[in-house]
Amino acid sequence: MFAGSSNTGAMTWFFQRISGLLLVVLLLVHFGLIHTTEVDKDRGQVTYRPVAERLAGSAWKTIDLAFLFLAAFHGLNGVWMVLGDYVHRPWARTTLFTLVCILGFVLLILGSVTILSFRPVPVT
Amino acid sequence: MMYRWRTGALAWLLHRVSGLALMLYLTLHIWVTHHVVQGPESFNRIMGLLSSLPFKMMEIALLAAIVYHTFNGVRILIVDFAQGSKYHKSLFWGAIACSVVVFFALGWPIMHETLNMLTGH
Repeated sequence: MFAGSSNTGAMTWFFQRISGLLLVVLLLVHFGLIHTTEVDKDRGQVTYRPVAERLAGSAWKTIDLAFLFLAAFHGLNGVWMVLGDYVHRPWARTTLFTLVCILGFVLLILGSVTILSFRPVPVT
Repeated sequence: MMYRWRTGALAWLLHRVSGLALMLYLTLHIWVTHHVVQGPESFNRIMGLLSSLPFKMMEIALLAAIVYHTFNGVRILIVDFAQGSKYHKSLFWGAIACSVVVFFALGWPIMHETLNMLTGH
């Protein structure tokens, strides 16, 4: 049995719902925009130029960063909730929680580097 | 633990399975998107690979997971914050109905493309 924390998880529970709600809105924009303006119909794929034009602006960098952090939190918190239902030994929980945190850290670093370091290359 | 296989347990299980699949997708998506930093050739090459038949088929499954997870998520919000527990069953079937409609509406172009690729058009 796991009985080692005074953290009731109420805040996490609440933020899982808030992030979920925000993700619905952000995903609608993300999906709508990409599939209407960033897919090359002839090639049947997303191409560099429109993505680069959008990602060059700081407004989109901000939106995409928020999207990244919310999605990573929501997703990894969800994974942790699933794992937590099946793994009960304290050492195993600590190990898995650490792994989930590491994955989160890697995703946030990689995603932030993509968004923040991006400089568009002119397409000839 | 005993499960009673009613709609609530089914909604819960599908939410978990679709959620885990979406987390796997998000991980790959962040890695794939990183190619945009390396310039047009690198980005267009990987996006080209992702528009091939196997990935188109997986994209249809992705859409199903996203649509279900979204509508069931909205159902959870209604149950938790708007006394939705009075209408558990109808909310669940409402979420399923919305999912099916939106899945076919948004998925039609890609299903059409996949069919064309399969039949060699």
